[in-house]
Amino acid sequence: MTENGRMSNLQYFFYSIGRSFAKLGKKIATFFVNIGLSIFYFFRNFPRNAKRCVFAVGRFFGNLAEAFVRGSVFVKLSFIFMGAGAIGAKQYVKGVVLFLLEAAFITFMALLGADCLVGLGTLGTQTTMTLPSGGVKMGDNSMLFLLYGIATVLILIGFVALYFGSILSGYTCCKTLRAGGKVNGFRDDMRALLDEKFYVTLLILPIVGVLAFTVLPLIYMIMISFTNFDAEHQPPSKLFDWIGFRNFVNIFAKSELSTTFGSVFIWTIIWAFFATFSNYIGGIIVALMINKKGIRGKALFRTIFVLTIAIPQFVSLLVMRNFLGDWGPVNGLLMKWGWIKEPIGFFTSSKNQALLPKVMIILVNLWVGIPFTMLITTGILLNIPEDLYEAARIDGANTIRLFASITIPYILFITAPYLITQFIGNINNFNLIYLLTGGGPTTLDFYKAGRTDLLVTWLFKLTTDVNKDYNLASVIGIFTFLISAAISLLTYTQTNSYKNEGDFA
Amino acid sequence: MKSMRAKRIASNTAVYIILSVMCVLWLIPILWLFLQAFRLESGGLSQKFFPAGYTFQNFVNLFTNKTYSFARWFGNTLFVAVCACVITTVITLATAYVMSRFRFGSRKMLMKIALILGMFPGFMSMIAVYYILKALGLEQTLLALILVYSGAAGLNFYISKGFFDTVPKGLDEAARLDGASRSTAFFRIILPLSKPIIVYTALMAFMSPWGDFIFAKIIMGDAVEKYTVAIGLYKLIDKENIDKYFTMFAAGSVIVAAVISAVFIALQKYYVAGITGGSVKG
Repeated sequence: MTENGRMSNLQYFFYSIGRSFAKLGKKIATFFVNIGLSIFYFFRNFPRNAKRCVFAVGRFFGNLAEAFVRGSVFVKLSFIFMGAGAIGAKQYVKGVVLFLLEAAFITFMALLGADCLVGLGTLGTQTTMTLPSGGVKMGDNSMLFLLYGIATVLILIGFVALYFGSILSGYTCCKTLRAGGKVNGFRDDMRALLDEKFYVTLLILPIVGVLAFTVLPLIYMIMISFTNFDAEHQPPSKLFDWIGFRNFVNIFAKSELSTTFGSVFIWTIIWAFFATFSNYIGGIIVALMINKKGIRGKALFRTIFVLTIAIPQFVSLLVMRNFLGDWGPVNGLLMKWGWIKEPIGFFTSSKNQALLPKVMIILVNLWVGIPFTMLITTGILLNIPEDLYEAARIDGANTIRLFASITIPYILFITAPYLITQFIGNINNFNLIYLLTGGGPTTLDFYKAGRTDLLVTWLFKLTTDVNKDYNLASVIGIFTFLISAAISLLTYTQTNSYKNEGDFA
Repeated sequence: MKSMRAKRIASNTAVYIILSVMCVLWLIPILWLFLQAFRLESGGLSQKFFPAGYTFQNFVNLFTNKTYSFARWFGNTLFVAVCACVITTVITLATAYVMSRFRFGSRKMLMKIALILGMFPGFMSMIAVYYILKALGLEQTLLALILVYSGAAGLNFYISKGFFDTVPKGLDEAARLDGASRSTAFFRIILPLSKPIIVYTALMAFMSPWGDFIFAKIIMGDAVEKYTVAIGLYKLIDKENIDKYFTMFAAGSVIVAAVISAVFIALQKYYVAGITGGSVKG
């Protein structure tokens, strides 16, 4: 059997597959090394970057000073009345709009904003009280104080940016006019918004949406991690207050919290690892089987698996929970046949730190996930350039060699980024855990978490429980973020689509 | 040569057996759901696989039940899904196009910020989003759901950007030389070439409201008539309801699954193209 006098086909097969996986392993290892490296680089380059920052700020104020000293009367006026610079450059519409914005901002600050800013500092002083007369005197609500305070700060930042921007743009126009140039009128500005400045128009809606529904809520929750907004401080009956970094210390120092956090964290990583790789390998094997030469009914097999993707995930997961549940048909049949005496707690058994539910979750995840990988891998298999095979065939490679040295490396190469997104997706795989086990089986060892809870489901429980520990939930959210952020930022900067961005530009 | 053939037949048979067993495993839960949807005997979870009798009544109940109107939920979800789909597609494609074609000072920074923001777990800010919607007087409205589903669309432009990057830039430049503005080039030249990515973005945006029950639940609270199908069906099998409504849940799930499957299977090639970031062409 020794072909080319060196290795048997089987040996070659395992050798080549092994090499592909070793390459993948190396990629993953490099990746973790790079995490370390980039942290190192960050600190090494910190002085240089800090210096650049200081220079940039200096230059900015230098420009402002220059505008004040050398600018026309209008530019000087624009330090008090926004839009004066624009009026001076005969941009009347722009000038009036800017002035109105300034007036609106000042009115807002006088009526509401100032109080909101003070409230952000105190987070409320007056609790709601029941008066002796029986009525209720409404007090402050720390939660709303915090929310409005942050919103005001965002508005303030936006206004300050607009203010400086208007001064500088007024000065630029002033300089252009002095040099005998022409300044864009209102109509030119509008036309530019559809042409070279089209990106501004396109970005307005996305940025407003992200600010309102992502940035503001996020800042709010991050702020909460520095307060004592827990079960004992629920406004309006009890107000919460700033407590600095104490929550971050507590999660490691308080024994109940640190046990829970440690166990949940470890299970989250174990789960993400097994879920990702079992799905990945399983899916590739199924795809290879379906696409094997000589297998008929490819379309039928594929459709059956794709069907399970198409069913909304919450439906299939709820079905699985009931199907395998203590009172579901699987246990029912096993009992009827006399194989077992009492239901197997597929999702409820708490033996061995809930080993069975944990294994079942990973198995059900295979049921959910294999079709996805299968579908993607099939697409890749059908797209492997035929000339790769041709060339190898001319060199005398047989089917097994073609498979081991072309098919497998090709699939691994294309799907490596997918693997990492999947890993992060699984760290945050809320639905699967929540719908299958609800984080259970419950245990008294943990603080408000069950044996199968992931960081995200624990976070969710802390915010929706009867006694809400928002501060702890925020801390967990920040940790989850740090994990995913480290992983994806590095992966992203390593992928070709980022490095080769210039190719098409 | 004969042994080669025998080997091939043996390995093919093994593959057939494995695939068939897997197909059975994959289909059994679905078949069970289907059978439960047509189950005659009322009540909750059954320990038997095959029902004693079959009926259409469960489907009729979905549309006639006074407390839980599935028809209403279905309408709500369809409305939310269509609106969110349109808004999300517009926002995502606009952002992706900007990031792919324009070069301006804060571009790289904006892209990194988007990447970072997208990595915070959504559940973290869920409660804050609820209070913001409440402050706007939008709690328990479908508009709130639409805003929540499409509000962060500006962050998910990476896949579409990857697609636009593969559309030759020369096309834009040629159009500009002919006197077209940037906006004209976008609407007339680039968009018509981008059907796969438009379909992919729209498909994903359309499907998410059908599956989300956490945000929807928190926003809708106890306003049952405003529910989407996901929370509605979840409600039907919570602890109080499962003994009464399990077959209705099964019937509702079958309808939702049928609708989504039809859409998905019709458009699956775009799905694959989107996931693999254009490295696979349909």
